[in-house]
Amino acid sequence: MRFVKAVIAAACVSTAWLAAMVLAGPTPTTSAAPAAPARLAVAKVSAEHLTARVSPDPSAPGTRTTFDVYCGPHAFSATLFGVTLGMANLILMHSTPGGMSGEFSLTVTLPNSIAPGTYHPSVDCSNGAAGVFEFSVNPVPQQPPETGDGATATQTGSPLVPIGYGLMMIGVLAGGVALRRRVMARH
Amino acid sequence: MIRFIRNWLIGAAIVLTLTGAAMSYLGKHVLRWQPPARPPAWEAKAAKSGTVPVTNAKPLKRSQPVRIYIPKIRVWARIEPRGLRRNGAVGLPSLKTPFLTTWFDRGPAPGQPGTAAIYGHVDADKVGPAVFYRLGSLRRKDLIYVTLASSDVAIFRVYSIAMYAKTQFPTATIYRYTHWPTLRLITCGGRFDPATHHYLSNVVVFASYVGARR
Repeated sequence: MRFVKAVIAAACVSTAWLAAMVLAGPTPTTSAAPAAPARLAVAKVSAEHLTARVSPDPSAPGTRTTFDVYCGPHAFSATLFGVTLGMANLILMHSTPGGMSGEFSLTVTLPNSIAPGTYHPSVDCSNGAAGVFEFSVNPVPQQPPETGDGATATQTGSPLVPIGYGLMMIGVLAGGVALRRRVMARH
Repeated sequence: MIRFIRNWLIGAAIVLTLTGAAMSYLGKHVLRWQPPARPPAWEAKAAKSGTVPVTNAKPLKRSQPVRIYIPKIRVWARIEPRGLRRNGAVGLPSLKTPFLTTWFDRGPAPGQPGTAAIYGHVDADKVGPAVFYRLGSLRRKDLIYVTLASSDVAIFRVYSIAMYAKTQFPTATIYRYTHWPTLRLITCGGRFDPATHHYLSNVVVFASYVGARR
């Protein structure tokens, strides 16, 4: 009888332990397999949430231009591929001060030699998200304008000239008359 | 009496001839017009620092500028859009239309965030002083009115004026993007080089948007 009681007690304890195991679910050590899909899910969410913005757009050569990206949560860094802009290949973006987690920003001065057109520099986030910025570069006049032919700096011949000639003619005429009168007076 | 008249005539003839000769000489050797005004150096400080005065006016949407009015120097001129030429210089009005101005249409329009640029000749053969002949006379706080195709009139206030040697033309300073709408009026100035037939400098007026009216 004592033996039967012990068997019943052992059966209850083992049943309770099994029930507890089933209710508690997998332990951390056994959760390694499903962790991979979870991480993939995070990357996918980030890629969906990646937003990239360039200001000003359109920009221009020699202009300070800001690249803003939101990589989504769980991103602690972002890298801009600047080679298409004629800059360093990998440029680390900075966390936006006071911004949300996963927000990064970078302000650069576009090279004066950058050609006008549309650019698509890539951005990679540490959480696996990736995307491209899209912005335009407008041309800027590279030569100083030639606006004038020097007329006011070179042209002489003010209205004084015809007035002067007129006075001279009157003077010569007056002199001629005076001399004629003198000759006539002698005769 | 006759002798008196005769002497008077001889005196008058001498005076008139000498005066006429002097006037002709001066007229031939003195410039017909005053050279274009040069802005004082201290007016260039704000342009150098890059600080742009900002107001709480609402920037405008892009619209082609059609007229410019500058009361201080009595400019009331038509504006035509121009792009870039092959050599990288901006398209300019012909010297045969010296009272026309041009807007660089690959950049922002006046009233839009950014730097809009309008060009005009300082002088031209046959007419002498052209549309921007007095640009160097502008001073801070002078107003500039730009009428747009949308019927809005964008109003700008001058905050700096500078003269730059063409050999050191500061493209970045002049065309730098500004988050606030700004305007540049550009013409030639300084010394004229008769060998190259070009002025050696450019006069640039820097103005900031203060508002608009219909």
